[in-house]
Amino acid sequence: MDTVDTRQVQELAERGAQLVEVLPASAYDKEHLPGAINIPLTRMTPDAVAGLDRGAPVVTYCFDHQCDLSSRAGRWLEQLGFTDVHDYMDSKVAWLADGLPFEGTQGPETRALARVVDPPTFGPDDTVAALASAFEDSPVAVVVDGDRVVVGVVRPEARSLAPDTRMRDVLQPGPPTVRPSIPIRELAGSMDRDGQRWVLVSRSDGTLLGLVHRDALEEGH
Amino acid sequence: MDAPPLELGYFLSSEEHPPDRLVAHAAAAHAAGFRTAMISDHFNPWVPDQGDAPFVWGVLGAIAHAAPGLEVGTGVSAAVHRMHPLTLAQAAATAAVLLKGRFFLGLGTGERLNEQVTGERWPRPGERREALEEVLPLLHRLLRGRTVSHRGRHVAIERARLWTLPAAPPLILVAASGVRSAKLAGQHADGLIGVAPEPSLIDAFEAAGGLGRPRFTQLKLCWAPTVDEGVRTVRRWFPTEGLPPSLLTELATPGEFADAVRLVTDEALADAVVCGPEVGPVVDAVRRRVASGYSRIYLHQVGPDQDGFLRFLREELLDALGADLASVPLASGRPA
Repeated sequence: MDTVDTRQVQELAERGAQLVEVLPASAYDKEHLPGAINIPLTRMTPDAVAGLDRGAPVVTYCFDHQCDLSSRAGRWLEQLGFTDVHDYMDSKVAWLADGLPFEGTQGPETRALARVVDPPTFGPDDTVAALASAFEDSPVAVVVDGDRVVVGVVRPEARSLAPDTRMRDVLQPGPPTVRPSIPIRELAGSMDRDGQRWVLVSRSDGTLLGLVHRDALEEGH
Repeated sequence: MDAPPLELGYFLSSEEHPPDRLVAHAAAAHAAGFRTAMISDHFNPWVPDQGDAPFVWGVLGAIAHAAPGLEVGTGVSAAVHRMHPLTLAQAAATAAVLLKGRFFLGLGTGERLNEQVTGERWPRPGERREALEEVLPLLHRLLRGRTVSHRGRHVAIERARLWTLPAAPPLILVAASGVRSAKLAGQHADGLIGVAPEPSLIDAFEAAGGLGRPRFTQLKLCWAPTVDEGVRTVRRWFPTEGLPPSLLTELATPGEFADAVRLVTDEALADAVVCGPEVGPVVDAVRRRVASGYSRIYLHQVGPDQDGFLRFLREELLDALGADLASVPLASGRPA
């Protein structure tokens, strides 16, 4: 059995791998990878896995990298005679944090990613002269590197600085970000508590996915 | 969308200068092109070496006469403790009339140094914020000429009405060093006076209702022929800049502050205040504040050499910032 990351899981799934979530049914029902089946480890008897195809790869996953259920389930499947088993150790949390498709009763429409807009983006070496119309629909401009990883934000007031001022000299590093999978209601609560009008949505590697306005989190928006 | 002008103002430090010098500084700054100034309101200086703390409302009257056309606001007055809100409202209204409307009232929750002189208990920050929150609507009403009666947890007012009023009520700005007071400013004030280049203050202010309203801050600097001379001047005139902010509201007397600043190193002072002849570090410090979301920066030259600072401003700083003092809009010209 080997350990696989999110990209490898996507490749395995494309090749027809069977994705097995080994968490309890309540967790699976709420959110799971597309096409995954649910065999909770506590119920993983030889009979329960009889329906799995032994000729195709099997990927086990659980909640996150701290949870050991996917590793134990993978080893147990090997004991039961499966030979092509892969442990997705980072599991569901990592999948959801990358903004990848998922299914469940608390599906993508209930998550922050459903409410993002595209903020204006610039590179660290662009100058504030480029900001002229950046703030018509956005409270901030986002400075990203060549891989779209968030470097910082620039506020409208920066337009009052000399036009050749570079973004890198005026950006605010470390703006607040959340993962795309955070439930809308939870995000609204935390933004109200922290006094935030907007927040950036990014993957775990810092790649920008968009910006969420607090107002866009209201019901019926 | 046109780029907004970089708004720079001049800071008058009541703790460092006697009243006649403050008036002369205001006139010189106005002559140098500044359209707006902010003045501190103290009962005590921070340390005995500063040596002054004139009654700011008297100074404002003289500035109105000596620098006609200059906008001046307090940065900041305490809303409850040593002055009853009624007296504060009356003083603000009179100042606004004498300054022909070019006045704004900056308010905060006070410092023990200036407020506990009345002998009252010094409340914790939450209780002081609560008192400010109670007083703000009363001030808004009084400054609009309403008759106010009120019996609250912190203040009582009995059928009071101001008879001398400016044509339009002055803007009321609230000072914040943390998210909770920034929220209070967003909910109850016309603007924010922030004490740190900290974007979370601006976010909290805007989220609580302050979007589009003035956000002022101050930048302490000490222009001097050398960095060392600048640091020496700060050591003499504003050593409290090296203290942790949490102490500023809690120590009781100038003597206690003098004791505390003995622990402050020159390195800490040089970190806290931009010192010396170079324009680059001042430009960087202004940029940081603008980038944090402040709409206006009041420049506070620490120490007596205000002329040296004004020369530096005229000959180097304005060009380096691409700033034009003449284009600075008056806060008091905005709708409240």
